[in-house]
Amino acid sequence: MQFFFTTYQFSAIKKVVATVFISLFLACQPAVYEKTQDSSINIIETTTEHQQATDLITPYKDSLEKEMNEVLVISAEEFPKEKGKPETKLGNLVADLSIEIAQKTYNSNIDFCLLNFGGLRTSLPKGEITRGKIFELMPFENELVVVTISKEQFEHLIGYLYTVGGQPISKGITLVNYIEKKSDLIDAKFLIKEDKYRTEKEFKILTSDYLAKGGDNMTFFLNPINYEKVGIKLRDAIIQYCVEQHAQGNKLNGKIEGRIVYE
Amino acid sequence: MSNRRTFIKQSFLGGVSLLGAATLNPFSAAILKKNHTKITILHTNDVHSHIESFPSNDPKYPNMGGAAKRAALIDKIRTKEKNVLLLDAGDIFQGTPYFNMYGGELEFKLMSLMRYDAATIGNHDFDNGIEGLNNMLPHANFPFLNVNYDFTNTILNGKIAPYKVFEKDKVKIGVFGVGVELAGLVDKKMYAETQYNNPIIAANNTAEHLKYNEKCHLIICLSHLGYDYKSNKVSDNVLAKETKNIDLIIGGHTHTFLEKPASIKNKDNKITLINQVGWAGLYLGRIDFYINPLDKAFTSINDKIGVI
Repeated sequence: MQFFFTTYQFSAIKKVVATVFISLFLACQPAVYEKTQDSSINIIETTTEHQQATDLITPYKDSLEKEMNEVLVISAEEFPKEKGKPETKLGNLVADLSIEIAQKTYNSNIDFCLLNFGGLRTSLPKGEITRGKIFELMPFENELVVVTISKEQFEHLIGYLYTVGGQPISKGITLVNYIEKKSDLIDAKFLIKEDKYRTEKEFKILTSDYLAKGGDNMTFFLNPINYEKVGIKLRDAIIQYCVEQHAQGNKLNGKIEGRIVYE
Repeated sequence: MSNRRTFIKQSFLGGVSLLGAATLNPFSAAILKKNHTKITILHTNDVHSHIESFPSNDPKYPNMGGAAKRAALIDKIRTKEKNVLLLDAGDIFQGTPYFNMYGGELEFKLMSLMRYDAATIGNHDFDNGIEGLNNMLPHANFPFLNVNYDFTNTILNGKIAPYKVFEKDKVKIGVFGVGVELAGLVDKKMYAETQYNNPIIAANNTAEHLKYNEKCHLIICLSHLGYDYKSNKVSDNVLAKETKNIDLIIGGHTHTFLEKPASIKNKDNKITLINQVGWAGLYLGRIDFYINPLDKAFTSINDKIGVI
């Protein structure tokens, strides 16, 4: 009744790895162990690249690079990834194009699009925008979804936007902060300019499946009245928009138009 | 070398009381090795289409990983070890543009080149739909194993085996796979009519069959359930506790880096090992078993690791 096993983990870069050797003699003997002779395998020193594997990868890699270097559209200006601003050109661009692309297939009217700054991972440069750059901007596989929420959940959404200092929203909703004094209490919040948000009882909001599941603390999306997939990934929507704009002879232009304002 | 010391220290954290016992004298070790067949299990999980090494400017994993380096390492081990089994615990797909552009073709071709013996199916392997997975199967020369997805009413019907028995120097090794619940994790459109069944029941039945009918000496479960959860969701830890006859669970899904395999007491009060090596092909897992297939007293490898 003897048994022993050894474990290894190989890091592809760090010196790894101890080879640990455990051997056990059940019942009749106490547990024993030893280190093997070959107790450390440094992969970066001991392995080169496998030639056949490299040969297999090369044509795919070359073709992929070509694809990723394809210019989809020209940008008239830089769209920087900015922190600490309630509204950015990059956020407006992506939120607006998401609505535009989603409404091509989604039959009902969407009130607005809400995304998050954290999900836009890089700046877009002025000039040529490649497919690879869009993969950098949106490396995740998030899909566009339409979430229908109640007035109460909607109020939570507005309160959330006030608290976090803004997130990317599409045109169609304008939020301006105000301070209301009720006797001793000071109530600071957003005033919504458009009347419809005061009269409607349900709101259809376009977002990503990640945020709709409560990502980035967007808990107001949890337990919605309705949840529908649009059927396109956010990255693919961005790519489609870029290609369409280019085909129409348009460049990407940015705008800041006071969608979220702290006065 | 400090890394190495840390590793060794941590490796024995769970077995401190045994440390004082004895070091193995070389003579005993030699006898053990002579009477036993060495089986080398190599494994990956959640490689997520990481074909190339991470770039040198990556903040977390500079120059790490890469399929060509992994292939070279595996080749090197194969030159030294006679009885190698190379396994993957799922989520081969999704994570780099290679998957977006080629749908997993290169991933499967590389795994075939490395001579993987078997893999199980992760939730992300449905990311191009069940058809996307089906279309890629001809590029894989190794089987996909799963016992708790019922593919009867899908195009994968008959294409996914529950288990496979490998024989290495008269040692029989039974390998099977279990998958995570797809509802809520994957769009229904993607997994279509795939039915999810209780992985604990399916794993127990399969392990029992492998042990008593197929007479396997070593039983390995490829799991994409995830290592552990705060909730009571079924995980590898739950699976290990609630089953019998499984010697090793090779896990995935939670991208857990384990410094050494976890030892869990199973339903028979024997030890089931769990190992998982992070994600993205950064590490290659390795566990060597020494087994004497002629030992009449041998009932399960679990008997022999019960004291860990």
